[in-house]
Amino acid sequence: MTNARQAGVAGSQVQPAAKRARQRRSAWRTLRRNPIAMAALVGFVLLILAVILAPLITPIPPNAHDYDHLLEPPTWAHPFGTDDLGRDILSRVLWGGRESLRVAVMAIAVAISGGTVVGLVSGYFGGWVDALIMRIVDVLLAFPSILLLLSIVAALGPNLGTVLIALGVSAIPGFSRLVRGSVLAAKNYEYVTAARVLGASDAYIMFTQILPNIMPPLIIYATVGLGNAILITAGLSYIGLGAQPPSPEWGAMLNAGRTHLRDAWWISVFPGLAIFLAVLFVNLLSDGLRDALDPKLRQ
Amino acid sequence: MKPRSIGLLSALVVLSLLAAACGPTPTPQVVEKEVTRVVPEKVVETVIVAGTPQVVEKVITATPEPTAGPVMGGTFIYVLPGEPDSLDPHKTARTDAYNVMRYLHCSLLVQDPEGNYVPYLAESWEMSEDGLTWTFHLRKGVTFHDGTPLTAQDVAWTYTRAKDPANPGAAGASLAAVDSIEATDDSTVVMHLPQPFFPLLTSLSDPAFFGILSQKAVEAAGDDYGRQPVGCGPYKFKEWVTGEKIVLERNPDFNWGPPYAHQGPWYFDQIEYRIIPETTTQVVSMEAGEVDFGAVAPSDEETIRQTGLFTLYPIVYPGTGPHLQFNNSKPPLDDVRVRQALNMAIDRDVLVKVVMQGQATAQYGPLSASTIGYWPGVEYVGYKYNLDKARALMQEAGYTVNAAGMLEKDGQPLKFTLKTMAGEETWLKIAEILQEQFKALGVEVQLEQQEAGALVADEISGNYEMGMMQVGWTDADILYQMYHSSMIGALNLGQVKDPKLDEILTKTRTTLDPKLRQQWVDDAQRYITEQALMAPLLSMVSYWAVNNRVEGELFSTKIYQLFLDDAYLVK
Repeated sequence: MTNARQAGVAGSQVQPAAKRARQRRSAWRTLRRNPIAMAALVGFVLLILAVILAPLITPIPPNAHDYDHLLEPPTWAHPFGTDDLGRDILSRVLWGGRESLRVAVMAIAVAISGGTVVGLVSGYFGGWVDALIMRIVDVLLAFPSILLLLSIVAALGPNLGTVLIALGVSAIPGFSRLVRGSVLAAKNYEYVTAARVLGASDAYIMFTQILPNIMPPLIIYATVGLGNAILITAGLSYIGLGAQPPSPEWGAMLNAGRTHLRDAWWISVFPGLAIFLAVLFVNLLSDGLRDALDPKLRQ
Repeated sequence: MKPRSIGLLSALVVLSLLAAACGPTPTPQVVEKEVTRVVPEKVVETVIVAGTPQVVEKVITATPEPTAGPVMGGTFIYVLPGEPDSLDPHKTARTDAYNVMRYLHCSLLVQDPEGNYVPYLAESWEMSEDGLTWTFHLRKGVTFHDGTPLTAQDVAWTYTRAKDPANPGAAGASLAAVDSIEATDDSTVVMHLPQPFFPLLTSLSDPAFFGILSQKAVEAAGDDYGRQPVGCGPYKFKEWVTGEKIVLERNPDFNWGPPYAHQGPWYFDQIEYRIIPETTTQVVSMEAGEVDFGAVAPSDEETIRQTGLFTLYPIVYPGTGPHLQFNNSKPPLDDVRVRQALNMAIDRDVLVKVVMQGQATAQYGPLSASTIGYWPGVEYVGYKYNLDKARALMQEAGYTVNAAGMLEKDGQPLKFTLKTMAGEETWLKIAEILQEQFKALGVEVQLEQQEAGALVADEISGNYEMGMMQVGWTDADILYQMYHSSMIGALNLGQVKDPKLDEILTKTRTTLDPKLRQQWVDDAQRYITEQALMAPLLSMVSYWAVNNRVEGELFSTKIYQLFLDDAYLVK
């Protein structure tokens, strides 16, 4: 995988900026011709819009109890039904999406920033710096990431903030590895040498010359990671280590619906469907992006 | 709570009224069971009907005993919702451990289905005039499961061990009232008390936490005793597979028994405790008829009833009922006005309706109505839902309403963290509703779910502000254990230190005249309620489901116990 991705960078020997723009246009064309990826993109954008526009879609607050409408199946007034405290499931799914998606996106942002800095430094400077950083990364990679996650959450206490940090931090080693690999290939290209000859600083070379050229694999890896992060956020909340009641986070909703699986399917089915769709869209989009950004597969 | 003894006629009236008024709650039904055991004249089964606190008595005429009597054999499968921490009665206070230990160990006395104290290990006993010396004469020829004879020395050693503050078992709090226990000969035990202690017999009739241990076995096993217990009860320990099951097998040498049951070994070959923490899984295993006993929440009652496989016994757990524990030592909960206001912000009728589908009653005092010594006066003294009065009290306590409609003092918004037990869905639902109701008063509450052991530890050590809790105990002596200042670090979860209350509670233990003692118990309930040392919530009705393949079991509505002494399995 990594090798194939680096091949995309290998062609860019001169004028990287112009070439990158060309690549971007071509990648977008490829992506647009991929109906599944486009459907996934549209679906994901719609999902994000629905979550952002939640207050406009349903006027019912997500935590409003209505003791006269307990466990009601879907109706016009409550399209997704109500739960055992009379809360509107539609409203909770939409507001819960804010929590779930925000945590996942922010965790990936943490992982990208951390992983990029660590990987760039490690790959660019090489030598003992590289050896030291990579051994630490090896140690972290040796743990199953779920174990790392659980220990961080256990140490910091169960809430969504902790989950965000835990998810982000535990994904840093993977991103570092990826970035370092790409940097190792990129740092020997002529434009890098040229920049160095012209007297550019290390930081300038790392962030303005190398980084833009290693973006494609990073983007693909990030979308894969995003789907994963959504799942893990929900999973941790489901077992009580993430969002605390009454948060409508999707995993927490699934957990709350567990006791009513047999008599009120709508409590768990709709948040479950939301998780499913979000992860499906992200993964299909990620597949499409890989096809579009990978020059070998593009043929 | 209304009087509990009601004639048949009024019972029928109540039933018909209910049928008319039940509305959306599940249709009330009467527990009916074909009784196929020898009965002298008639059997009176006491039944609590959905949506009412009323106890209804239904007379079922005796059916003649058909043919064969009890048969030996089979495995009785018991749903255990949690894994015990230890089966050493001096190292645990957990209900799950209690439910295993009660068949494993034996006690000096037991309570019969009518609630009387009857001989068990002790054939007779007497109390000195002043109530300070108790003498127990033991049955001879009883052996422990390892074959060693049970002597008075073992009894003295057991209770001395239970008293040791290093042992955190449930018995310690009661035995603290006993100075010393000595064996004057092989079959005589004498207890010396510094002052009279009313609930002594109640305690000594608990075969689990007050069971007699074999000194030899405990010392041989050391720290492992909790996982390889040796008792003297009708069943002996066979195996414990962590996270899966605990199996007990019949003790063939148990050739005795309490006076209300047959003498000799019990009928089941084994009792297998299946550890099933998940409510849904418990219900599924009951529906499949795979288990013989399990507790059923009101929400699942209808499902289980429809299987036709189980007899459901309605039960109100004696003790505290699920309540909101306050840490009275931490500001602002050390201010009685704040505690009262919080109590008045709770609309218990909503809890009854939403959480328990009407199968509960609002509780206004520290004890549930089925506890021996319950004082009905709390229903008048207790704080009813009154948001205006609650707001006025908060204002008096120095709180003002800020722009967001929330209460604050010196610019600090009033905020609490409410701890509840992970996996305990009923408590969580109560907590979520309390969160909304306190918000209406202007108090922000955050919920935190904790694993059972961590929650109990935090509440014992006072590392909390508010927490859900329920403590089971048959007698009002639980008030002493939970509110006397000497019990801080044990069951005084509210960290209550009140000299006036201490005095009342001491009287509840040292007064031996039952009538006078009851007055002190009433006083204690009044005082605790008025001081709002916690927020009482519900007396809930739940159900015990017994598989219909079990015959001969006896459910006592006097002391809410299921007696399996004469129970057996039919194929």
